[in-house]
Amino acid sequence: MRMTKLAAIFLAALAIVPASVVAASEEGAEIVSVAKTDFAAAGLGRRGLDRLMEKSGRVYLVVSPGEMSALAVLRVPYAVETPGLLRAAGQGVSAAGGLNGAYHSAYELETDLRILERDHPGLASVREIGETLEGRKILALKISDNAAADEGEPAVLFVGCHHAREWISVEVPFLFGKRLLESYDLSAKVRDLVNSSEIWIVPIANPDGLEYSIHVYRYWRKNRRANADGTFGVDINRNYGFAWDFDDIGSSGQPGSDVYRGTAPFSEPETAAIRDLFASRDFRAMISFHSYSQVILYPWGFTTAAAPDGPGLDAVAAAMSGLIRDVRGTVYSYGQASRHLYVTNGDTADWTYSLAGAPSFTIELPPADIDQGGFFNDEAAIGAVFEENLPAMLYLTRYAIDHPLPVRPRIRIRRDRDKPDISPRPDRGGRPAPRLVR
Amino acid sequence: MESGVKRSRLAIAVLAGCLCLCGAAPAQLVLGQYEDEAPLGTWNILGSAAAAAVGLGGAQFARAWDGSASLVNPALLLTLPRLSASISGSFTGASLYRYSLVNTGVVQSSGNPSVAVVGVDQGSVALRAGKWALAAVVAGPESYVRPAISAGSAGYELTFDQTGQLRIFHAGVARRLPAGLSLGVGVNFAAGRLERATVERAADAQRVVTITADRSERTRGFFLNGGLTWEATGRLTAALIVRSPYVRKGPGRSLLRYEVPVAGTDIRIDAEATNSYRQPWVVGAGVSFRITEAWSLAADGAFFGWSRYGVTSFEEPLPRPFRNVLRVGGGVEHLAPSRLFGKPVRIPFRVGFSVDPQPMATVHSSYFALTFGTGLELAALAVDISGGFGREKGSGRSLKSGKIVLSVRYVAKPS
Repeated sequence: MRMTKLAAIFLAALAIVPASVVAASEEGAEIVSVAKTDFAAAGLGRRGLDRLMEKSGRVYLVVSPGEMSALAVLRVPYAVETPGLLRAAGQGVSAAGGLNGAYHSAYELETDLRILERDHPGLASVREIGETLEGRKILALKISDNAAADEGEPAVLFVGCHHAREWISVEVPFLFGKRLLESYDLSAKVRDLVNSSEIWIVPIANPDGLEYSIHVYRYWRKNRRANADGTFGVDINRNYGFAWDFDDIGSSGQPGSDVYRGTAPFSEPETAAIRDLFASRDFRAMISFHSYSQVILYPWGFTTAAAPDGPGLDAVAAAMSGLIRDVRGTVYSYGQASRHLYVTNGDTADWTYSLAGAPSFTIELPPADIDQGGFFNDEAAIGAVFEENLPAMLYLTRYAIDHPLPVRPRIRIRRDRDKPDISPRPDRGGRPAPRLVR
Repeated sequence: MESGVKRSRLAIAVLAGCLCLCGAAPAQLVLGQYEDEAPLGTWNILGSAAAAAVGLGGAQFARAWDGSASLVNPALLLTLPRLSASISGSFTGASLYRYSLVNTGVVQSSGNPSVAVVGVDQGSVALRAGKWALAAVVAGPESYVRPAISAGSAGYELTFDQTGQLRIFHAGVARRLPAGLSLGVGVNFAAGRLERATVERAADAQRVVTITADRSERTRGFFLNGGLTWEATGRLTAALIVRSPYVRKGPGRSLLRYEVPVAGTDIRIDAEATNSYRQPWVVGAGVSFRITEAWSLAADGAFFGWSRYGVTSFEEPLPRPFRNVLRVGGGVEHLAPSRLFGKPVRIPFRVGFSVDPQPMATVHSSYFALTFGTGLELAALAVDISGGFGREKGSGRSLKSGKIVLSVRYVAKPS
């Protein structure tokens, strides 16, 4: 009831002072509340913050990401109120709730994607890019100025929930799409991005696994493949076609393993769906969201040898890390996946990068460690995690638009039985790539 | 007395021979992959069969022994004595293969885990006066218990426990009609309870991490049942029964929690919702035939409309690809006269079978069960004990089920 009243006040305020909110929204503004005593003690009233209202001993403010960072620097405790206010006002995600709280199930996601498509005709198009083993749809949200048409614009892919238990990885890409659509009419920056590109969002790459994680076992990771030995699941982030089965360190051939790679590259409908989508467009960048650790990883994951344009990837990762830190001080470290976190083979980023060199990243979202929740994130943190990643996603989209991929060889692995090695081979012309030896 | 015993042995031998010709008989349930709400034993539960009915392959549509018959066919109340009361208890055991965390990817069993439940099945009181008859029944026909899990090693522990049951509060009335017909209607209040808890605890030198998933629900619903019985001759009785579809719904609560006390981390996701189960309609037909004073038989067929079954759990419709199924069962009864402490008694011997297909559309699984029963019938008191033992075919897991039911019935005035 209290939230409903606040929401009503908030909406009324929006109607009265649209200019401030609209201006702030261009920078990813949030509504935050601080205790009235803190507000006074920190002298916030003199800092020109956009004061929305006072209620129950708290002052509600519309703040930009920079202003939110300033609150953190000033050590003023604040709470992000936007999601709750929007939800109470009926503008938030419509189907959130149930066993998984504010996180989306596959069913809830489809409902919300359809709502976005309905509410933003022309800009949003929901596509079924595949079907899982248990018959669920793998859905993609395409955002562009003429979403129904294929205009051949530069494309960027944001994908979440390869791993079922990483619920926060659904929310960040979903909220990105939602924010783009809702800001299109308000923000010239967003409008330009959307008009110049195709932004593809696959919030749940692994719907079967997610449902099992919600209904049966919270820590489930893989998909729901019934393996021949009676175990279940393939780690679909070890099932992509580049460096698949490279070794038994970065993945496993044991079906019961949490990093089981499957029986063949793209053996799983989930990875096949992403493969087919990626192959059908001019994708120039990709982020695969995971949790946890707060790191930004770039190829290679399968070897500690550097990627052909490793410095370029490092620079993009550094830029994204800086943008994330600027929001509220959260540090996402960055580095080559195999060196910075651990070795993986057959993962998404290595494969998308191997095709044509599209900057490809794995972002491990918060928290930083298991003491702070591991694969659990407080529902109240969803908005904040999204907001801190928003500038990085916008940056990568802009980067993709501005940086066509150079014509360069598609990288393939060549191994013999006794001594595996890899050697990039030109298959589309262009310069030969350096030979890499594990 | 001696001759009575001989006849009894003969009856057993004959009945056993009949069953061998029929092949193995079956029973119990194959769970779908991880449905929590599946009743232990079989999906196809209708009423709460008295021990005598269990001994006849579950046949209960056209023949009644006590007031529990009203749960499926209230019209049969007119065949009972003027006043009767009964109580039944049972031991139910079943093996399961795939449920919840077990054999779905988290915990793997070397064989089929099994679980047994002992409880009171039903208590009933029935009255008959003139052309009317009434009954009140309290029954607990369904159990949702699962084999508990406790697994782990040093520093790691995983436990799972699920309990629950369905209770039915029933009132039935019957009216005798012309031409040997009887009509009965029952009103039923169903109350279900389901509780499930999973706790996972991992500890190392620095911390203890505990993940808890608690879920519970209480569901309620009303439904009607009815029956039409036709006493065609003094020997032959035929019956039609129906159970209305109904929705059982009620509050569900869930708590998902992640705790690391040393770090002060306590993340909770609380949920409350209205859960609902759309139960299917059931229609059936049965026949009872008295061959001689000592020999009789009964058989039933019940059609369960599972294709319209539906579950909404915590605001989400859950997929249940089910098909309609026909359960059949029947058996033969022999009443052997005897004497106990110089007084005449009758000793029933019953044997039967049932074929019980389960509703999952993807795996066609059926239980084939053999049933046996005996007892002792005094002037005003009767005790029956029966058992049904089934084996499943279709899932590839050869699941087993068994049920032993003990019923005691009292009649104020023998009919």
